Amino acid sequence: MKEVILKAENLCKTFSDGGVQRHILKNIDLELYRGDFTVIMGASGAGKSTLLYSLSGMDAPDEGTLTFGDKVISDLSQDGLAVFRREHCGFVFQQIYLIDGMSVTDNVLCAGLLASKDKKQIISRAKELFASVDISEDTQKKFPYQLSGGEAQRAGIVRALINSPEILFADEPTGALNSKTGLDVLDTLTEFNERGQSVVMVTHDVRSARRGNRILYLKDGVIMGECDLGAYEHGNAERHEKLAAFLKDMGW
Amino acid sequence: MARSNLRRAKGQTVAISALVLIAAMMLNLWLMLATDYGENFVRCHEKANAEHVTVAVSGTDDEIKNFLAQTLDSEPNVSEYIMNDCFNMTCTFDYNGGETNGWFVFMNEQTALSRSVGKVEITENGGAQSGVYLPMIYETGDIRAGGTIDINIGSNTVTYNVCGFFNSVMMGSHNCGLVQVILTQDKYDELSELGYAFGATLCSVRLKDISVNADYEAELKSKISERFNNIMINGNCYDLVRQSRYIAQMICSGVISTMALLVLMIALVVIASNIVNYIQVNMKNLGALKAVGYTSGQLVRTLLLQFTGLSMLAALAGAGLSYLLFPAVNDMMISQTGIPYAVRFLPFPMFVAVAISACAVSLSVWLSARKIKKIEPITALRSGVQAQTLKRNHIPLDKAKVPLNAALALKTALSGIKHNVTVCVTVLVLSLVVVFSGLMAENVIGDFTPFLNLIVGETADSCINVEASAEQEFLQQMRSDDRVEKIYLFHSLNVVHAGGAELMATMYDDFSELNNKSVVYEGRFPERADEIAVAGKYAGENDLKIGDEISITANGKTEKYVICGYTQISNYLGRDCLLTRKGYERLGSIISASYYINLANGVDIDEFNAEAKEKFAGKISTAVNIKTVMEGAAKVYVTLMKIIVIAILVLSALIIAFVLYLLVRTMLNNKKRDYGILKSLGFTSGQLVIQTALAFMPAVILSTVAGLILGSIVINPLMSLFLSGIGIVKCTFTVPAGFVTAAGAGIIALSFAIACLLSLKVKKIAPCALLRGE
Repeated sequence: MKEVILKAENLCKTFSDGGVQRHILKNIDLELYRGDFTVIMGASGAGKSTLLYSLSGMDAPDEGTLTFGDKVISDLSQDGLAVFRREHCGFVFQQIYLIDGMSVTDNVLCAGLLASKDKKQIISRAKELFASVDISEDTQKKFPYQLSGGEAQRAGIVRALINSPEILFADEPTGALNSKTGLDVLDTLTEFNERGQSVVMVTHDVRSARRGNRILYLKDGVIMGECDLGAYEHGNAERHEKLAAFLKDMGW
Repeated sequence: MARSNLRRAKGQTVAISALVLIAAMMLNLWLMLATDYGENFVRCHEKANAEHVTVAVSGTDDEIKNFLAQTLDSEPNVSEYIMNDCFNMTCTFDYNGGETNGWFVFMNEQTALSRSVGKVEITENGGAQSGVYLPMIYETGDIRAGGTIDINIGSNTVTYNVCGFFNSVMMGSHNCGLVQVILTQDKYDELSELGYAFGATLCSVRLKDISVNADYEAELKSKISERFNNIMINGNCYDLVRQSRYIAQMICSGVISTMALLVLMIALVVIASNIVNYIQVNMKNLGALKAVGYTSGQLVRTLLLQFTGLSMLAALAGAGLSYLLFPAVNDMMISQTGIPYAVRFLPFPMFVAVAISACAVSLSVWLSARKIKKIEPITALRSGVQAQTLKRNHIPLDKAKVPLNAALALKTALSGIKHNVTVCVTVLVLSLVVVFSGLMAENVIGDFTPFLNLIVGETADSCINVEASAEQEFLQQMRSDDRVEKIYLFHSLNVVHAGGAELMATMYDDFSELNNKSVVYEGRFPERADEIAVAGKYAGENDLKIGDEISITANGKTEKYVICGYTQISNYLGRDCLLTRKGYERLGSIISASYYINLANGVDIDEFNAEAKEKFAGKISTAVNIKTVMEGAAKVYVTLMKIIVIAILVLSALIIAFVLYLLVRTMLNNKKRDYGILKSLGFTSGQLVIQTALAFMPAVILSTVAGLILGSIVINPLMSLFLSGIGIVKCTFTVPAGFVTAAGAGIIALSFAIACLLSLKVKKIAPCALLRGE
């Protein structure tokens, strides 16, 4: 029996667009499990990113309940949500969003020292993570504009993982990268997931989606279907075919 | 493009406009005060066909009048003169919460109103048929038309109905040397019968060459005293009256001009900082514009048009706004000058104020926008802002010894040189201004004594003028009186520096008895009969050095004295000297002597004076309560300083708020992305608000401390420079350490509070907006 770490009930999100109300998320019910690599797929405008931000406390839903463990987080204030993100979530963005005025190390420590008072431990974990994503000491001292796209995204992953978050949210993490660099980033995410890290990733790229063990398909703000692919195995054709068939069923 | 820039930065446009508006408003006020307001005296003087030299000579007989007529007729520089009978006496009355005193000239109504030279203008007539008309400066809450006034004429008191007020240019204030008072015919006759004042001849002289007015006054007095021994002569001249009646205008215009230039300087620094920031943030856009063919000159001209146009509009509004403020300033000034001034539109000062503001802004824009020329399109397009600015990772977090938020704030502070320069210049300037406020609060508003010591030199509780014949008996009595702590000679008389000007000579027996020993600021007090200390200002103007020998004339006799020190007393506008009594007596004896008296605590000075007058009836001509006289005179300056200090402090707070508003807003705009990222990582709005405010604190704290220290060091020399026009050479005001420290803490706390308040906008930055690309 899998452990539920985040539960969404009747989640709704509406945006006003030129005076017209657009329902982006419509009564979403969803459970996320510890250790899963959940992939949210769907066409552009389906509400994938909105769902990710709503689940991660980055954006408050208009209606519905979001429960993390025993705690209802949908009722938290903005500052309460900030503390929730700091303590339980990690984020990897498509645009990476490292802070320009800080070195790579400082970008990581800035997040780490916010959640932990044990500076030595955070510095040691940062070193460990940098080593695991192959970022050298020289690169750690550079400013973001001096990094390649891949280096920057790997630094972003280190920052996301510095506080050992219970869930790592990734929004199109390979979207701004070339295919070789994108693969490296996916390998990194997969590696961390295999070590037990829960990951929720939004993508519209099938290659990226294959890394997940659970695929959710979102269409017009509603989860249309779900596919259990099982644990990722490199080059497993059966998984590829299963995903392709699922996507075909969903009208991809 | 300029319009688009203005639209995009509305808040910054408003704040910069506000700074230029304040600067232009103060510039216009200053220019109006310094030019037209100052010239108002000349206009009033001409309108009244007023005299350039006035002397009131005791006696009304033909011998005196004939001598005066002959002397004036034989002087080619005299264009016109008039002689009238009057009564002359030292008088006092309650005024402005204290007392005013001076040599009063009582004239009858008909004579005063029919004079061809020195015409008076009745400004208010209460309709009473019998009584007194007073100079308009005395029209206060207590003294009003229809009321009564007790005037102490010598040692006698007479109550008069106040019929009204008038404007007398040369004798219309207690700081003119002579105070004109008009009596209705019946009261004039009554005074004549009472014999409280001595009959005198008032001679008012207009000169062809005005520049020699002070010298001619001295020459005329000298000729009269040579011809008539022991005659009493009081007088004044154009320069003395013009300067002394406009001290408040000079102080006010000095303070306003300094503030105007400081605010303008801050506005220029803010504009320069804004432009440098604009270039940095829009590096890619500017690169793109260059790439499509715009020249650097065109881009610079766009900024010039934007800021110069804006500043011209703001300056025009500011100059216009100054007309709303000017009536209040005018009312304040009139209470010191006592000369009416009609506020009117003055195009020239307005033009100059707008031109100065616009030109200064243009220069600032041109100098700061030149960086555009160095932008290469390709580099700008490729690297944008980062490659141009990021060179060093300040305060690495792994090595930082301070908490995370403080470390991040320090990072921001150290990477924002423009912001720091702007904050430093603003706070440094305002700290200097605050030190000035502290100095005034301590030395003028809180305790007037230090300012008084500088202006009038010596003060005590009572001053009693006793006839020379009764001097010894008087001293014996006083010294045996338990209420008297100290009694010492302090008597002033006019002397003439041979080949120079008339000087007010003050004599004493022993300088160690004086209360204020800082009157001599260089050298020492005269100790021997052949020594003299002269005003530093006069010495400087006439190249007189300590050790030089000068000739002094009085009572038709001339003696040589060696200069042993320099004095500074603004009362005589830098034309005074100190002598020992023996030193003065080389020139002649004194008819009466003024003694300054320090009384024990709790002794009623008025009662003491009344008792002394009774005891020495007929021997004491005046007994003045110096404390109340000083309070009366001080009130005008204390009120003026209170207004100035409050205005300075409010303005300083406003400027800090404006500048911080601009900087915080710029920072929030520039770092909006960073704040979004930090929020997504879990930073709360409160943490980011504190971080933003803290980022300004190193510059605020350093410049406040530096400004206050620097201010404390330079404020006295600056004040000396500022007051040099009224004879002050070396100021030794106490810098109030408590006030300065509290003000420093106040500036820092206020800056932090304002920065926190303005940073609250961080709350509106939503991390998801960043992720959605908003």
